[in-house]
Amino acid sequence: MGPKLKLRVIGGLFSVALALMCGSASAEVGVTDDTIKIGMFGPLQGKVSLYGYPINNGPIAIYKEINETGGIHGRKIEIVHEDGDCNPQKTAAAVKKLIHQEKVFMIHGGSCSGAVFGGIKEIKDTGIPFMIMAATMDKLATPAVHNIFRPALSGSADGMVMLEFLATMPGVKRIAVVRHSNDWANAKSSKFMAQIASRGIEVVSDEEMERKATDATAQVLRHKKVKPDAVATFLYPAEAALYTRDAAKYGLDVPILGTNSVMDLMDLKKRAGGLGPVKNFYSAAFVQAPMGDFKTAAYRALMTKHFPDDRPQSLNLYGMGGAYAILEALTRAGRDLTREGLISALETLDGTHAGPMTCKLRFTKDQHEGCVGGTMWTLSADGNSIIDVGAAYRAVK
Amino acid sequence: MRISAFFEARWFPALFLLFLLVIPLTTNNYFQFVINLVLCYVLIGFGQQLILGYAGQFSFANAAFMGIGAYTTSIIFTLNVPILIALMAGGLLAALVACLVGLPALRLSRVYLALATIAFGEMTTWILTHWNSVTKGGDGMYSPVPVFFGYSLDTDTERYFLIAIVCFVMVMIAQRMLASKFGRAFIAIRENEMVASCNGINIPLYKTIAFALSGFYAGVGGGLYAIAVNYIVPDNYDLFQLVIHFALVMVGGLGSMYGVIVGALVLTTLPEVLRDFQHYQEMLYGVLLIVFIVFIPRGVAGFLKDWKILPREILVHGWREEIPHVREAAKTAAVFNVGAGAEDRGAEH
Amino acid sequence: MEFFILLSAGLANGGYYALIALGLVLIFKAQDMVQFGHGEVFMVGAFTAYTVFAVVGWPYLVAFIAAVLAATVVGMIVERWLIRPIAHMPHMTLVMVTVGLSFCLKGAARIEWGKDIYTFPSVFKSGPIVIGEVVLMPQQLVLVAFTLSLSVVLYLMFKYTALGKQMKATSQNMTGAQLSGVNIGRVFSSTWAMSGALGGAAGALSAPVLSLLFPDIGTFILLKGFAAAVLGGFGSIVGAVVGGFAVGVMEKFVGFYISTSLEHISAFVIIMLVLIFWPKGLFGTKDVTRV
Repeated sequence: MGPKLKLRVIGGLFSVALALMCGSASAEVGVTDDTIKIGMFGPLQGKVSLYGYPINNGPIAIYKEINETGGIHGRKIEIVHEDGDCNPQKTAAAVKKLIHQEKVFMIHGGSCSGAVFGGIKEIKDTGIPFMIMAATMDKLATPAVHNIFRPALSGSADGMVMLEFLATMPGVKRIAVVRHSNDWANAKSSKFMAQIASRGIEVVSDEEMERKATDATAQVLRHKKVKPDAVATFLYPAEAALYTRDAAKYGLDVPILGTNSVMDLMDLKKRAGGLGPVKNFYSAAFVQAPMGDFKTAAYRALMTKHFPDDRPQSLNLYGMGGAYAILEALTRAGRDLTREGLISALETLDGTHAGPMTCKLRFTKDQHEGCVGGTMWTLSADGNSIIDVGAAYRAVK
Repeated sequence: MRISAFFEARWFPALFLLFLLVIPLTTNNYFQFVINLVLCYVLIGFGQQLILGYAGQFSFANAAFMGIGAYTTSIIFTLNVPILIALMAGGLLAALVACLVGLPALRLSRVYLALATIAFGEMTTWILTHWNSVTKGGDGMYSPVPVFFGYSLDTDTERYFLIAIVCFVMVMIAQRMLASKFGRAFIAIRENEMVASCNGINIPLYKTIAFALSGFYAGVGGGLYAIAVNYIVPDNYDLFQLVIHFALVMVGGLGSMYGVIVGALVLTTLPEVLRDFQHYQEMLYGVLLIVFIVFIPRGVAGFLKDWKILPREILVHGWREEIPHVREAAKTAAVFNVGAGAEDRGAEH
Repeated sequence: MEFFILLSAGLANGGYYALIALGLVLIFKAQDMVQFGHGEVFMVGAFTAYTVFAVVGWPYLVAFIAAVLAATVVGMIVERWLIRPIAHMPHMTLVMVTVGLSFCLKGAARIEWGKDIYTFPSVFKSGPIVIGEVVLMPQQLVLVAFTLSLSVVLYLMFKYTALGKQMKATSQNMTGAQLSGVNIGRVFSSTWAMSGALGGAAGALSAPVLSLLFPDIGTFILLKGFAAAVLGGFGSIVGAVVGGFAVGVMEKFVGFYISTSLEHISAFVIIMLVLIFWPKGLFGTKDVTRV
């Protein structure tokens, strides 16, 4: 073999190797012939794990269901579930692990706003598609970031649903507010507080309630003293129950509004100790009905099928919209799946069915908040069913 | 040659520095991030070690010092101050606060000091949550991307070099300091205040110094932590954070500089390795704490020293080695071993 | 008048702060240490009561007794198998072990109870008792009455029974007590059993008042118990009770008259201020400061 031939053989081998490498490089990270790896994270341990599993299990049930029906374009969805605690350090580690170690195709996760910020830089830098699970802080997805999408109602939008409702309630001029002092409550209340004066409503009392407080006597009495026309609460469900319980106990008899986190009014009724305290309670909502209602029976069945040991609860519904958006976009992106392809496909969603959500999802290049409007719910007079009042106040009882 | 001789060799620090500089070649962003955290926790853990392991003060304030450092560094850095100065500022403010916290410690006995420092920790979290105009309240705040002489440290690997160098320098200083009269004074106070005082050690002064140094290390560590994580929230510096620090010091080995490094390595990587067992993480910390306090009070570093893998450290023989005659008395005590404890405890009052 | 409403609400909360503080003080008196796992003993009591009353559906009295028994057993097990083998070690070690214990128990509880916030159903079918503007739940009255009568019993016990005297002797001078023939093992065992029973009773009695239960509840309440004990002067039975009620009332007053954002933190401000300026507290006798 002459030197020239040798060179040619080596050259040939080299180009074959190069072609092979290119070939393998063209398949997107986290996508094989029959699987798509989706990373998921949330608080799976510690004191917030209470919300972590129920929220993430909703989408997982949907992914499991689609796998049973054959997957998408012949690919099944493989979930990699990591704990992010409700803490930026753990979340950063989880996100980095998902991206660099597990090499997932995309991420669907994040229920604590503050914690998600720990991982957001890595997500932006790598350009991996990220569907926010239930974190509500506005600046996560507004202004739009190329690869970050939020299917659920943002915090400020939730607050605005409450504000619009208050503004249409007859005779409501002076309101009292009670809220937590954390990222969650700030996300929901800051725009509400900034805009309420422009709607001709005055905030006459703004009180704080500790998370996991054991009673709300001081808050209720301070509110009662200023005689408000209505109360807006930015409280977690348990604390909202305490507030309504004590409001009834001390005779503060005005309409009370809650965020969409309290939308499970049946649960609220049980926690507050009966119908009395919650008969004048209105909550924002962005799903069709809480878990247990016939409108969400299909999703309840889905949960009991895939998580037979867990109690189906309304938290399961929060992240389902995102899962349906992802499935729809994966279908539209076709068999030749790339991250950019998925992002483009997500941006074509317009009026897409989003499972239990009332919103029809719509993403555009500049608008990555999929859902901007909600509705208000209240309990019926007998307390056995939930009435969808609509975005504006009307007498329903 | 004994392995410990290797660590004692003059050229060891240089070799170790070289090792630190080579690490990033072998990592992806995730590993790099975890390694960055380990280095931050070396400094934070040293803050706890100094006050608990060396000076013997039962303080629960280390998580708060870490938080003060993290927030001060991030806030000052936002004002376009060079990153090293911002880190120093974080450390110094934490040290100053630590001095103030140390004041009651001069007269409160141990359990009361613990309670006072717990209260202090809760108050710090409260202030971080409510001082909206400065700390951005419960929302948390970005810790800006550090700029080092005009070069922005964007990735975990780039930040690693800043963190590694600061950490290396501070550990070197710590080692020197512990070998000096400061270290001996701290240990003397820990062992017996009365005897220390009779030997001319100014107890209030050295206790205050111990608190200040502990605050400084936890503060700088917290500042680096903020840089590593990039986003800080107030409720990260609570009792749970503190239990991690306790466990770190206990697992590594109380009263040992090597112990801090071992502890930081174990306590930061273990939760990552055991990610699939998140349910049990809290229990894990609790069990580690109990097992090490009761059965292995000298920690992993103690083992390594016994096996002559790590060199002995000056004047350090673990926090709670039982005194042989007490142990014997305990075994033969008529009722059971509680009786012997009286002598031991009596010495503390 | 808000004053009386706040006072009654504060006293009702103070009832279980006082019970927690009593449990802490008992152990402190006997063994000179703070039990950081006491909040979890409370949690064991609360969840046992919940299980028996709400899940199994037995009467509240049975639930209460079960809760007290369960917490007593936990207290005794912890003493016998965890604390006694290391009782000769310095109290920093003992305290750190209880910190570890607290996290173990909390983590264990979370495996079973971590998925939800549990609602304790109301025990008394009758509605609230209204006196003028003051509104009280029957459960709150039971809690306060129980706390008061229990503290009287404890006080008398320490003063007049042999066990009480032995406990006192042991805490003052362990070796001396031992030499005088006191079985200090039995003293410690009964102390922990009593402390556990108090924690369990606090859990069972306050569960219907709190109405919402979750594994972290113990930590939250333990810190309030610390404030109560410190204010009362750690080591005094009367002090713990008075301190508990005082902290409860003070929280409500601070919340209403100053600011609701200060309500929760006020207990810690109390700890700080008392320890710095007035370390003996209201009824303290023991030396808080160093020799």
